[in-house]
Amino acid sequence: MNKLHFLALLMVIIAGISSPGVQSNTVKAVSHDTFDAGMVNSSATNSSGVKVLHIQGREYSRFDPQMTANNAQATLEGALFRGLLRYDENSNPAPSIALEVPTIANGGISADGLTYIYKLREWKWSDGKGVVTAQDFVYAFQRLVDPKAGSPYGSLLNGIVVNATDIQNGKQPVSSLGVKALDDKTLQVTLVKPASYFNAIASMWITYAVRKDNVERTGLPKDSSWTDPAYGVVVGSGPFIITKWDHNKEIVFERNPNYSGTPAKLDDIDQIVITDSKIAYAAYQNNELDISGFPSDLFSTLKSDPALHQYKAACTNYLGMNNVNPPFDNKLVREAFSYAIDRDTREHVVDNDINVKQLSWLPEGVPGYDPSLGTQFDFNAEKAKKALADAGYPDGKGLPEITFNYVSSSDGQKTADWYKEQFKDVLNVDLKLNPIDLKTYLESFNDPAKRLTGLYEWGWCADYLHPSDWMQFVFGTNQANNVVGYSNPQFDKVSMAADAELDPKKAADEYRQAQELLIADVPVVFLNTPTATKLVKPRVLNLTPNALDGGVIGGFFWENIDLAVDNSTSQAALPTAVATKAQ
Amino acid sequence: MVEYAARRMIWMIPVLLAVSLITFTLIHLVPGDPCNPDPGQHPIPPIAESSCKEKYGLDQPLFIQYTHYLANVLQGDFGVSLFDSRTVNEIIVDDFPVSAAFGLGALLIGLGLGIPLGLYCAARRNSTIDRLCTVLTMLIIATPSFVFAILLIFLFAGTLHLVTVLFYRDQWQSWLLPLALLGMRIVALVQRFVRAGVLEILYSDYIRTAHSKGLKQTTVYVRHVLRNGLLPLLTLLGPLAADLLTGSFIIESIFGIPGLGHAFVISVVERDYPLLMGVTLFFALLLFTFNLIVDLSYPLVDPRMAYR
Repeated sequence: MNKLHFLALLMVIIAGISSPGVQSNTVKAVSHDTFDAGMVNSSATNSSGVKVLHIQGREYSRFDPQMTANNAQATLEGALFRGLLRYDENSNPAPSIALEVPTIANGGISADGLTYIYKLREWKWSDGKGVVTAQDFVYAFQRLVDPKAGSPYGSLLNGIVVNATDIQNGKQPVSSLGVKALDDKTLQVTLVKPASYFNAIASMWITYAVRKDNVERTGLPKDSSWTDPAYGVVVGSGPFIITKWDHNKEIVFERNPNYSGTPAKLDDIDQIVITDSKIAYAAYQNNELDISGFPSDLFSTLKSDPALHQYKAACTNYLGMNNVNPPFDNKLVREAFSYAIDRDTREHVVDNDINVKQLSWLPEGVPGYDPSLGTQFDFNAEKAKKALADAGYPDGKGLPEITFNYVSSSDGQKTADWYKEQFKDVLNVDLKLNPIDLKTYLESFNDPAKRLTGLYEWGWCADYLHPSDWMQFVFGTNQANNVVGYSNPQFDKVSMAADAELDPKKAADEYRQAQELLIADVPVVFLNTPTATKLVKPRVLNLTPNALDGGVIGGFFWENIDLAVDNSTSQAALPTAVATKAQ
Repeated sequence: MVEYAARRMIWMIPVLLAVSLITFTLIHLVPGDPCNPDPGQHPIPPIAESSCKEKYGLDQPLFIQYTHYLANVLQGDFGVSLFDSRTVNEIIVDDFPVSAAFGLGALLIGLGLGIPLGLYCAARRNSTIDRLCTVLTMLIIATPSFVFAILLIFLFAGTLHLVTVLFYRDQWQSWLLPLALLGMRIVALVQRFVRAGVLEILYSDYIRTAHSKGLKQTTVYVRHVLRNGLLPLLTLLGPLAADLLTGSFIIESIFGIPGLGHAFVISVVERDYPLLMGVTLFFALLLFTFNLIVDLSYPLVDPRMAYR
């Protein structure tokens, strides 16, 4: 063939193999916690019958439970450590190292709701040297609130546990914290006010027991190096121990022979650090991973694949607006904008159907979730036009200019363009588009002086699984997290009562009431819930996803996960050298 | 030669000092700091931020921070990574060998294949092979390595199952693809440089003299053409070697190779100041050394050049 034909052929080949493969990196509007839609693991057993679960993951700086605010990291820590309580399959507090969940009925909570007693069972440390004591829990709580330790969740107990706020502000020493060991097996926590949610907080990873002589060893390069096995044994009390950490490459957990709970079925968990979703997917297809992420643009093709696991995260995304200034101080205008959004189309066009429509506030996974709430504000073009007219802006006339703020990225632009078209179509409103850089966007939610005017997408993710994390805390009048300036004294009254109500039934009723009030006021437009999506090999058994696991699927119940050994396809694909790698 | 080398070595101190000062200044000009990396999502109470800064010495005036850092460096202590649990020394010692192994391998492949190919193409200018090489090398250099990586991975690992997708230190097969990808680029670069350098002198008088003297083709090419034609390549080799040995971020990220290139870029993103400074200084040192070696070798290759 002549030169020209040859070059043409080359061009065609190159065009064919070049894959744009844009990985959608939408800023999922979150606050309080980053939803880590990251990795999942996988892999076969090796030829000697040792069960190794290979997961795709990312690199972490340490596995220190009191210093963790990232869900995926916390879920991994759940393999290594145990705390007072843990969440059960219904996201309710259940006993872990504590013998039972304290209640008024069993005397674990005092009548005034201010004193909690946790009795501990016999629970061994992973190195076999002794058992977890109440003093160990005191140490854990103290290092959580110690301002010098700089925990991202250091302020979580402010206004809840006695002296927590003062300690965080440096006004009181750490030893004054209302967490005391009455004896080796009895922990007492004193609160400043009754709290219906304290056991839910005690089920978080921040109460995982760590042993002082292991954390504060001498000779470590830095304080946080204690969780790196390269510097010595890392002592926990969970079903696994961390035995190898090849930084930026691989993290290996092995079964803890001294685990006091139900022994794990897996022998090892091997988390391989892969940041590129295409590579992870290729590795998954080559049987090098058991659970893996994948490029998001493949989601629509993989949706029908039984290996795809999609489950909701404990987050709700919304379209935010300032409730204090016109025009959104008018409830009818807010309603109009809620009616005007065709969420189904938005999910399809903007998010490739990865998020799931959500019309109520509490997401699935948080007790109190009710999908029947909020349906009245679903997409309805007629109602939208009518509401806007009733508000005094028929056909959009007279409305001040409304800005839509978004992070300047390709996904942000796609979202902005969709809104612009949608609001023009339905309400005849011309949005002014305002792209901002990520840093400024995020800072605006923290600094009241920098609040965005106009519309923006934002959201909230659970810190712990209890409605109190979603009501007064987020939408209470003048609360720090109330970025939209919503204020309803009735809502405040009901949600504060619920927060203090120790009768679980009454509390549930009050939270339901609060949620109904909130939704009826349309302070923001509820849009969707993000999901975690993973590919899981059929040989992985007993995975129980949880809305708070940050994508580390099954990690809330590590000890349940099992691998079917007899899967022939797994071994045949690999070169023999790799099959024996795990030995 | 020794005198020349010694004179140059003396410059190493001021050069590294300048690099450290410039890097330090640049790092601190960029907004954000490791103690409050995520003010939007996880604001830290002021007292926690100030004790973090105190712990890492970030509350001191910049001048004090810099001199403190220098004092430590002179004792061999490059500090502790702010995000990793290791010291900077440990990170460099852990990660450099992997990057260096790949870099060295790629360099050897690049030179071993690129030089003969460049020479051949220059000698047979405008032949089919030469044209093919020109197009291919241009393609390889112009296309992001990412594209070839995906292609090769899906071909050799995904379809043919000859190698694994992921890199495993103890599996020699998993070294092959990343090595091939790195090496491919170097072959292309070397080939073009050699071809250009050789073409420059191929038609000069002394080469014609050599031919007319009746010397064997191979002798002409190897002893006369190559020695002079390689000069441009030699100049390239200094920075190229330093760059390769410290690792390619892209290749390392794609295959999950825990190397220095990856560590370096991550340190920028995370504002890991000590690691960033340490790796930059290390790279500067390597660059300085390789440039010196290259400069020392010039007179050996071309006696017309003298040490000055």
